Amino acid sequence: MKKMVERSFVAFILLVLLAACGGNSSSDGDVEELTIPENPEDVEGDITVWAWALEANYLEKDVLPAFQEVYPNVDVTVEHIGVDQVYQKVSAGLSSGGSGLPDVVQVENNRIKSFTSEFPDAFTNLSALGYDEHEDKFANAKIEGLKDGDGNVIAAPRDLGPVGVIYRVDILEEAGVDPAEIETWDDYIEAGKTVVEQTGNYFLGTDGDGLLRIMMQQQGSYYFDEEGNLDITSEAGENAASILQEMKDNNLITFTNNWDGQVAAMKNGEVATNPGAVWWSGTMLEQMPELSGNWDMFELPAFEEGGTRASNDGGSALAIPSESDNKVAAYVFTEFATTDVDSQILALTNRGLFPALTAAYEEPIFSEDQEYFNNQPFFQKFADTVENIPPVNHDGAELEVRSVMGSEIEAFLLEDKPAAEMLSDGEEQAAQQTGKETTE
Amino acid sequence: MENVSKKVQTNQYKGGWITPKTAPYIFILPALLLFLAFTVYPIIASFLLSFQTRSGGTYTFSGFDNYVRLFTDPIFYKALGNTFIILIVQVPIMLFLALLLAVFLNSKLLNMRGFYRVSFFTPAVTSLVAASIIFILLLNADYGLINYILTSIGLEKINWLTNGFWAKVSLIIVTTWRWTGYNMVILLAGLQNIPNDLYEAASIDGASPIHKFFHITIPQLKPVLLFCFVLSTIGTFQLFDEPYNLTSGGPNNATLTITYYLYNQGFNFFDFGYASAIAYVIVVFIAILSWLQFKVVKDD
Repeated sequence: MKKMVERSFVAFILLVLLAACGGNSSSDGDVEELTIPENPEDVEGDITVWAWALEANYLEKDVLPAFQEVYPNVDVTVEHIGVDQVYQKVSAGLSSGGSGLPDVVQVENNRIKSFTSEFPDAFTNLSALGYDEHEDKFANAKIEGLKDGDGNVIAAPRDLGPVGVIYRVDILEEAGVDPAEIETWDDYIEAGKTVVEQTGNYFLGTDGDGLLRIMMQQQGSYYFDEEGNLDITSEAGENAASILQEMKDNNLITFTNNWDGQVAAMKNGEVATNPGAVWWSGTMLEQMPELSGNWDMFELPAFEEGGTRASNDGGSALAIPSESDNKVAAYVFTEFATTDVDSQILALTNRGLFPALTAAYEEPIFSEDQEYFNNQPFFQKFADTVENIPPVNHDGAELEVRSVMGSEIEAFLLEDKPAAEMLSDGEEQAAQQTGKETTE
Repeated sequence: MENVSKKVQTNQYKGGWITPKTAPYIFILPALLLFLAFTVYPIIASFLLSFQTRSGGTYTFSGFDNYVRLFTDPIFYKALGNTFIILIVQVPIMLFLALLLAVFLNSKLLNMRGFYRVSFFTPAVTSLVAASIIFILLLNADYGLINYILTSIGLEKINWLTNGFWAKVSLIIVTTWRWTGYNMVILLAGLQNIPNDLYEAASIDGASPIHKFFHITIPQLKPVLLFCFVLSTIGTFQLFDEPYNLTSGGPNNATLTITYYLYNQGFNFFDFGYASAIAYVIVVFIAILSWLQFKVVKDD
């Protein structure tokens, strides 16, 4: 009897192990041919969408009513899930062969590759379903980052984060600085010295490696080169580091610790400028209504006269997991949510999400003067920079490297590590962490 | 006669699964199955995973690669160092405080003992996320209450969360705040188990309260104190919520603990093989430290 009990335990353990290994063996034949019906009413079924925060509200409240008028037979459930949880659940779902995943999921540009490098067949090829026809409606820098190695679009572009310098009109005026004359980073530093002398505060604040990334992308470079090798100590990196060092030596830049700290610094006038993405406008409108009329933007200063004055920070996209069992409905929803101009405008006005769909820039909201932003066509100014944003390579190891560089920025600002050393130490550290080669 | 009845009994069970011999196994079977599926299997699977690295979405065996990488990883050493600093500084402070409080609460002279006991224990059951938000506000360098008090009595502002040294101090304060009451309750239970005759005998011999504390209370509490030490050591090695909520491991990894590093590797960077290797190194450290603690106490 004892033997029998023992044997059944062994059998049970083997069973558990087998069951655990079995998950990977599916997804062999992905040769299904899908066609999107001509008549919207022929698309039917239930789909589930995972998204977070503003984008989830956008999809549920702005897109869904309009979508259902066109596609009355598709039933969409938008689940609001926190950003970390979306990624954890997607990662867990993909690891287990695609079970439990939704039909549409929000993914940030810089995260896409971390999924596709892990799970090459994670997301449905949208080009095959007909998304190529929309390709040239989007900002080049955005759509390029959403393609796989073969040039197929694997996620549909939603919002974009064009970068400019958001500044306090009143503070600069009082210091006698004319923002129109700030054309290069050197001009910016000179202006900063004048302002800081006047206010006794700082000219800008940062809570991480965001500014470094913005400055590198501005020069068409990034933490990675085209092949995905680490390229942090590139010429572009060194240019950015020397500007950061100069900012620090002149006490222009303060470390704001985290998001809340950065918001507080802007609200309290501790900083006069914020080189940041257009999505700051949403937070500013919501959290600093008393500063209405005191904010405006000028284009990112160039590294040399006549150089590029545009960059990007953030933005997300919608992807369809390969295991979705209603790809047709998922596709039409994704297509609608990303290419319907009226919806993009609602995203901007209701949620502050800046569309990647360039056709939307023709809409009146862009040319309208914004009272909060010094009665200027604030969004138009950002839209004007979009075509100049250089596309860069967001690699699968982006998060590891950002985490390393975030720590290095802290060492630079808080522990007085020289900026050049910050780059070389960071690159060495990142190579160690990711096992990647560095660019020769 | 006796023989017959025995025969009847065994006949009853013939052919059936349930006999007096198997019944206990059947009773423990549900618990055992759950234990196997949710404890034994993950332990084995993560051990195997720690010898695998991923490429192109699949995990392949790569021998000791993860462990080699681990022992050449400066951030791992930093995290390990941070964890040891917290262990060496925080655990003794916390247990000393817990012991003082327990003795204080065990005093017959004190009124409203239940109230104090609950008050000191409350942090252990408070949501740490909520508590961390309060601490972040209190410790804010420019607008926090603590710096306000410091500056109003003429001291310098302290960058509690953005200076590597003070961030560690903050972390130690918050951890101590949270876990002192928990250890206090365990020690209090221990105190109440010390027979009163020992104290009476000591009183008759003319021992002072301090003598009684060091020569009766502490030796009698030794097993309970050891339990608290082992528990707190394990707790320190698993310290995660506090740095995650308070400092995100910063500035420049000054408050990155070993478990936080494991979390980052596994759930931020999806490198489950490497994360498993870290987990097994933690297991080895905890085992060694617990063994040492038992050894030290035994030798006394």
